[in-house]
Amino acid sequence: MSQACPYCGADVIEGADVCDECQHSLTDMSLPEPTSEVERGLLRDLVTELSPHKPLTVPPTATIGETLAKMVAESIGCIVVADGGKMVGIFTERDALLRVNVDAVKLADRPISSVMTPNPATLRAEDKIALALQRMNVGGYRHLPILDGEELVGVISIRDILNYLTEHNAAAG
Amino acid sequence: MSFLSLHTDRVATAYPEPPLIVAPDATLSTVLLLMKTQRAASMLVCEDGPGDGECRVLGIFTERDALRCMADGSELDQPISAVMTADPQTITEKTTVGEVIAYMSQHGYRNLPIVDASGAPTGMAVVRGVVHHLVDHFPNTIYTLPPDPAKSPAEREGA
Repeated sequence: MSQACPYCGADVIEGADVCDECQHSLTDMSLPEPTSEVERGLLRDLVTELSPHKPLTVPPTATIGETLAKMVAESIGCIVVADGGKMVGIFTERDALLRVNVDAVKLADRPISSVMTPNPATLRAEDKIALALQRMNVGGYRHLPILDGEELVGVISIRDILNYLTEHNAAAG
Repeated sequence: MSFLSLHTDRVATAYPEPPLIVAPDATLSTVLLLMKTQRAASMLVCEDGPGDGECRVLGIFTERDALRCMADGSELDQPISAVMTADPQTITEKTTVGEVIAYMSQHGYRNLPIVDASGAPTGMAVVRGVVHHLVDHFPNTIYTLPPDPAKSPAEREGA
């Protein structure tokens, strides 16, 4: 009894763990197919469909005081630190709580680069929403910058994914 | 498991955290430092009720409130009750994960206190727990990710 390897099309023996032809693992073939439209959507739709917000940026030399004020004024939880168009870090509400905290007044004139998170985890424009969900779960992130090549195209948040789920779940009835 | 079970799964399946409670007269600096050491996204401000062991939620103080206080250079010795968000939206043990997602999606809440019939806090539904629940919920989605679909285009580009 044989069947075709889903990766290379070669005949494989049913129950084999790997394809003899392409060495691809076949063990995940026993996993059920995505059952709902929402789940298929997560695997199909790109992170860019979450309409990433145009990121607000500050230069690394911006002070902590002005960055905090900007985040409050714009009602955002995450700001991108960019040097000449290139992202060098991000600064979130969480960073504020962990690194600024009760010293907000004392640190107000220090540069944001001293308390930002350098080299944050990012997504690529061609990544699927499911990957964003997984990254946020594993890393505990609430925001992820999206890069197209080297260029920053936007930032998505957990809330964008929750919005996507409510919209798609409502559409599915 | 289908997505529709979000409408029957209770909030308890979305990894709620134990409630972290402070008294209304706790100072802003105490609360900020406590949130840092506990790595908490929010604190509940509660007062004792009239009965024995009763507790009532007066307000919530979240990372968002903390950011505002830091930006304003707020007086650190003031009571937390002066800067908290009063009368927060609460949910009960019976609230479903789908309803929690809807609250968070529509209103931007990331922390929803869970209260019992007497109004006493029993837990905190957090957005991070919801994400964890979703990942549990779509096991295929997460399994079929990285290795293959993501890697192959990268190899072709390099060739």
